[in-house]
Amino acid sequence: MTSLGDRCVPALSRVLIGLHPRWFRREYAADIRDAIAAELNATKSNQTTRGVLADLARNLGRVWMSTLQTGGSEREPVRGAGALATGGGGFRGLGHDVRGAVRGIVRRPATSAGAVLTLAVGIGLTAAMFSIVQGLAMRPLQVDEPERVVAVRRLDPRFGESGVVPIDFSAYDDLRTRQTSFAALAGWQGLSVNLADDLEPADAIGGLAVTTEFFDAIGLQPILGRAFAERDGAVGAEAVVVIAHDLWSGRFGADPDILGTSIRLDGTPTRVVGVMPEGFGFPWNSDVWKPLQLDRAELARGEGPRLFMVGRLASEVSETAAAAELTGLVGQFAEEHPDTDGGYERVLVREWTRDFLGSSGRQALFAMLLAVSMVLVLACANVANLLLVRAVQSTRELAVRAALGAGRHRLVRQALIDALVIAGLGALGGLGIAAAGSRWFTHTMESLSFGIPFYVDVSLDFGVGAFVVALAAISAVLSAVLPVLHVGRTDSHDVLRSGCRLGPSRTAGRAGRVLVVVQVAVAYSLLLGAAAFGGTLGELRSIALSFDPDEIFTGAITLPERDYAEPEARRQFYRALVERLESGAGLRAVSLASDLPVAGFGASTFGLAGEVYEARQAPRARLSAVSPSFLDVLDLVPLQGRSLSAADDETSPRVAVVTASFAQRYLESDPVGARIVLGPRSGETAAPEDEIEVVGVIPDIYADVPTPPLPREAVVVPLAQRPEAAVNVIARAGAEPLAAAAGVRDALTGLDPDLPLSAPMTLRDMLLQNNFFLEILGTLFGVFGAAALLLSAVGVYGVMAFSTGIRKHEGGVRIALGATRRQVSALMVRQGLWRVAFGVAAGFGIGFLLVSSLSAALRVGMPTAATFAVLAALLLGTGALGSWLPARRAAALDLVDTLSMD
Amino acid sequence: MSGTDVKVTVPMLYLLLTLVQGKSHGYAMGQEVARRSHDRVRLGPASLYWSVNKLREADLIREVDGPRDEGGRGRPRRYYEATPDGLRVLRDEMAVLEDVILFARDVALPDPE
Repeated sequence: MTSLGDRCVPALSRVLIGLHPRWFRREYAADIRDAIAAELNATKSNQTTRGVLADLARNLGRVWMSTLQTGGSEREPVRGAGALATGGGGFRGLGHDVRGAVRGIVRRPATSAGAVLTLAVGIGLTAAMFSIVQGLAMRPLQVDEPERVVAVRRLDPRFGESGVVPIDFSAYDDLRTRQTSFAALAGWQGLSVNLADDLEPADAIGGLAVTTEFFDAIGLQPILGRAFAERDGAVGAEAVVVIAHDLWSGRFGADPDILGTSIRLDGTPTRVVGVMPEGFGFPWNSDVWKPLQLDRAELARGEGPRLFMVGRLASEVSETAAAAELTGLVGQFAEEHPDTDGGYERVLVREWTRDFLGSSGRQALFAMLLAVSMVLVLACANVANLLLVRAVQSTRELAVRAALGAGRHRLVRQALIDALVIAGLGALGGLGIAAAGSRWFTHTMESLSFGIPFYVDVSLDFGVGAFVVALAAISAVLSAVLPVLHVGRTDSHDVLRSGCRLGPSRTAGRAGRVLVVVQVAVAYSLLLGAAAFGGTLGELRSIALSFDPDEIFTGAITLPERDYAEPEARRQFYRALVERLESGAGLRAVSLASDLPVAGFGASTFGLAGEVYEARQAPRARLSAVSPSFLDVLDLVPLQGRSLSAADDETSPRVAVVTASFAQRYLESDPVGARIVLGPRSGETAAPEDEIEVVGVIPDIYADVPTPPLPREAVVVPLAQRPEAAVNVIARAGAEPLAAAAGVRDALTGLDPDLPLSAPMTLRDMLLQNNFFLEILGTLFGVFGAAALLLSAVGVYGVMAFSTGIRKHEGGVRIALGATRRQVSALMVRQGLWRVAFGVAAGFGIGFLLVSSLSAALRVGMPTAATFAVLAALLLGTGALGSWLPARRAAALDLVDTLSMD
Repeated sequence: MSGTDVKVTVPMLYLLLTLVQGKSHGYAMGQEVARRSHDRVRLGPASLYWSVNKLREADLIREVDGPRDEGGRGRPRRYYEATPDGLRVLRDEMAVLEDVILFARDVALPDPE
């Protein structure tokens, strides 16, 4: 201990002494060091060394407190007798300084307004982003012990952790019965049902089909009625449903007698047994929850519905422990049932809200928060410059005050209070911007057909308020650093001797140069980020847009299993519907498609005829079953071969067209005539009657989707040969596409009064929804980039105006010595440009890191070299303008004026 | 003039008293205080100079030239002496303390059990 003390004490005490305010150090540091040395020489006990360090630390706090309260080293008179007993000291002068700050702000309204606005933008954007991050990523579910509610996912090794692959019912059921880590482990699958009653038109609503453990797993019970009991899940049990508060209070007028009422879901009379609390809509914003009614004994392995899992961890069981247990079980299943369960190796257990957003989503959000805080840094740099200008301009005043006895620390405090007042006003403005930002986000999310997840609440709350206060304090400190350093370094004697010109400008000029570099670097990296988003979005949008997505109408239809179980029934319905739509609804071209171009939500496995695939080894492609006019609606013509026609029906040989990227990747030599199989069984060669002949190649109609990972390769087959139960109407509808909705509804109800049309929208909206996360983040990044460009332009101008201003004297001398005005301003512009170039170089590095981290999270592509160059040129141009304007003004000044200035 | 009071603490009184004996430098003042107070008042190196600074700010002590014969070992030490104000404050505080002592004797402060 002694030897450790020997080595550490001198270093630690040096650090502690160094942390004292400058005036104290200057006066006493050497004496204190001597005293410490003497003390340690006398005794080297632990007690001494500890005592020395404790004393230094205590003193550090004491000296700083005193410095901030009274302005430090001012000489103060002592009151007479009895001071020992009474004490004294305090905050005298604080009110005076605040008044001074307000006076200073009012005296220079333009610069002050600029500073306040700048900080308002920086604080506002950062707070808005924080409210989004908080709303999306930091809110727990409003249930009992939300951290125990976990998503449970069996990982498909092909897709990694982000691949969301449902598990088949029997495997789920085995997990549920064998596991010990969960208080409840439930399965669920998405459900789209047609809700009909005798009072109102049919309505397509979303919900879940769940196993009966569901509400126990979530840990939330209905406010009215009951949750599901085990008997509700038995085959042949009465059809029951639990409904969401929104549906209850909306469609059913909050009827207290709703329990026991029968409603028609997909034509089946279903009894309402419960109403959930307000605001609950698991997993997104469901309206109904129905029990799955299955008999395990009747299902072969691998059959039955495919489920997602949600569980409630048993108390004291960690996510890791639960995942380890389930991983072990999944390994056993793979051995017991290699055909259906082979290839799965791992189970992921993760808190539900965290999993819902995904680690990449969180990473993207926090990258955005980082990016926007760079805008705030930029804003602070601008304000720092403004305050520095103010400090330099009043250097002489400060020097006089210092000479008259105002302690330097009073002046430091004045600078800090200036910054605090400006930051306070900026924070008020920032709150307004943050409110607008979070409203915009909520509005955008709500306008999407899938709405906003039930647990997300992006709004200004106490957390955001506290965050804004913290931001204001940080901004004030950041903005005050330069002026404080300036005041701290200014020696009043020098200033008074030099007539206030030369002394401060060296330090201040250096600080200004650093500011320009920082601002340009930040602006450049943010612009690069914005460009990366823009480029990626452009790429996603450019797929197959040989048509105008604004003119294409879409709407979804789901045929209920009860009435349309037979393929033939579905085929007949689709034929009749297309006929009605073509003749009546005023549409120019109409088709039905199970998966929409651009927007498709899933992928299917396929194989090449004659190949044998092991479990989970078959490749995947998008799959859409379409009616004959599909390519006409999109205005596409086949690149090779032919398109699908009405002749390709259930009686003719099975055919398909594939997209260009599919042909290129899988059928390179001769796509037309190749034979493929959909959903090949593992380990078997497909039967000849399952083979499908490729008859044509069409342009790509899908883009890569990163989450969930979906390929761009696609197979398009005739709807008559694969009559899916859920299809979309897709029609070319002219300038007012949404007006077509009424005609399509009429056609539908004419065929089946219980069938609703859901989510009518243009293909453009669909596109927006498909990439909404990227779109929203891209828009935000665009705003950040624009703000950064503006702020840095203002900042470069401000710094240059200031530095050329204090160099007028030098300019005047140069002109007196024979330089032309043009040469002088060229010199100043050149120096300004060097700094901007330096900033661009630094920004290149930061921007590269930023974009790399974004691309890791979101597959945002790196901007092209041309983009890098154009943005650099943009900043250099801004810098040139920002330097030239003040330089021209400086060079235009009259020589005599310049030199006689004081 | 701001009129802020300086709180005169017991260590500060000790420091002032050491200077009544004659001018001295900071470290020696600290040693003397420890000796005179029987180690009851020990000022750490930083606290020592904090108190010195307080006394200087209040114009109770001032810096003076040190003895000339001390050369030969690096930095010259800084010496302080009590100002007339310092002596006056010391007298006033002593008067208060004497009253305190008299009061304590008068009430016959019992020994703690």
